[in-house]
Amino acid sequence: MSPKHLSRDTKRFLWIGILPSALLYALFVIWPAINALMYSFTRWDGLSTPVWIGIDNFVNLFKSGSDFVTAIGHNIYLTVVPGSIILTLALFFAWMIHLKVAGSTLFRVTFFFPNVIASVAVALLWVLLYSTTEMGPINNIRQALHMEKVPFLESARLLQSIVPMMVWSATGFYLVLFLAAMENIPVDYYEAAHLDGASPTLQFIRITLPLMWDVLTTGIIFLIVGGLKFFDAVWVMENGRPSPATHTMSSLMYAKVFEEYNVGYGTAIAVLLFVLVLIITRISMRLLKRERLEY
Amino acid sequence: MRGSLLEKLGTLVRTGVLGLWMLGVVLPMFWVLATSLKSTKEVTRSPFGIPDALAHPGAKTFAVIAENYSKAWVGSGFSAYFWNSLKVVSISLALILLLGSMAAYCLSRFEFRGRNAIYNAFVAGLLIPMQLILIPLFFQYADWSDVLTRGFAPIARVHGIAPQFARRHHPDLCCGKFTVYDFHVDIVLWDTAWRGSRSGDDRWRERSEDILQCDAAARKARAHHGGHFQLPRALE
Repeated sequence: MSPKHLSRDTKRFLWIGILPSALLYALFVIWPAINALMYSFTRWDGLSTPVWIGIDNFVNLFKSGSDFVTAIGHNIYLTVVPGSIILTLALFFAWMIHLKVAGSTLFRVTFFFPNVIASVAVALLWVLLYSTTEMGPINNIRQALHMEKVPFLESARLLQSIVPMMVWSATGFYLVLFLAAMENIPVDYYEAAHLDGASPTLQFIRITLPLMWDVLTTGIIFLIVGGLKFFDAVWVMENGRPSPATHTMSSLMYAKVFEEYNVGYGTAIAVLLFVLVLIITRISMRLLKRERLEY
Repeated sequence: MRGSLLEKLGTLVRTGVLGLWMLGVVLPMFWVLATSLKSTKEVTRSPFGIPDALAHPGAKTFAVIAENYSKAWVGSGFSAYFWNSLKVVSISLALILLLGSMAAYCLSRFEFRGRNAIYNAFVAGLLIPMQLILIPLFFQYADWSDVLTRGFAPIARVHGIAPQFARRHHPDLCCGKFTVYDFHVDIVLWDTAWRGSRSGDDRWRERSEDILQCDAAARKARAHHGGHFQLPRALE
């Protein structure tokens, strides 16, 4: 079916088929994205006429000591620390389940379960767990062990307190991802390695990891993107009023636009966030790239 | 023989480690479930004990559960929110399946000029984060809502993710800023009218009048104060 052979009917069919999605897509994705770029070069309160100010917004974002620079630091923290723990634990548990245990389906389902809960609900659950009232389980356990109560949710501690929450809720997802990749590897390789006298550890490093490298890369990129866009828990745990000490890029953007009516500044953050995510994913993909192995 | 013993030990250790993590994942959720079965008094008395409702099942303890859940379902408006989610999900799911499969079929089954360009444009959209388009989309909805609420009210209501978003989460935005505020009034007005006319209750006319009067006052004030005017809280 080369272009020449399209009849008029076919052409009409194509128009009807593609136009609705293309239109919706242009209206609700492309157009707002273009608008975002435009807003980011203006000073605008969302009401009056926007004033074109060139790259001033971006210059202000990177002034030393600006909230945005601090927020980037928080995002990096929330990417690297929970990310590495999640990755390690998920690989470790996936490998353990892969080595055959009784009740592996039970483990899979329960580990995955936190992913079914909305992220806001997860954050609220952890607010309860961290509570300093007599109801808060974690502080209760601490008291039973004769330790001081800790205000886990105060601004200075919040980012550290979010780490266990992220590990708790995300590990299951990556575990399921990695386990599926592990189970796709043909058994023959392990049998051959076993005959050659390779230890399980060696098998893991020389067979499992290289053959699931693609999936591992995907997992790492998910974690990076998720960390850079992090929003919900900070917002919920700070009751919708994060301070500069806890803001992430997303929450800062949101606060700038919807609380300070600084639309130009806020969209500048959004544009930078987009560019940052794009660049960092690109770089990490390049770094993680290996010769593709197939079985 | 020794090998199999070691293997058994290994399996035991593995199961133990996995089981520990499983407890860590499941316990907080069970705790929430158990708490939902307790009265407020019981929660403060024994936050971690087995709920009375399970320990001594009976009419009295059952009433506690019924009260909690009916409060959550009706009192906090959960049923309304649930219905909202259901509407958004079912309509968008149907549209996505229909329109998406239509476009996908055309793009995969036929060869024509611009096919790759269109396909690539769609794929590129996956890279655009929600955060980037959230703000412009918000103002876009605000600008359009005038048309939408008047012309296609039912559609605007169902698709009013932005209006709902505005009303639920940004009362101060709705009142402080008039671009957004204008459409807020439209939605409230329409909502009142819709509910009123359906329930056969005629008071909606009065309420609408009130809202319109407030609206007119606000518009006047806007002209007067150059846009920096706070709407009376009473409208919330």
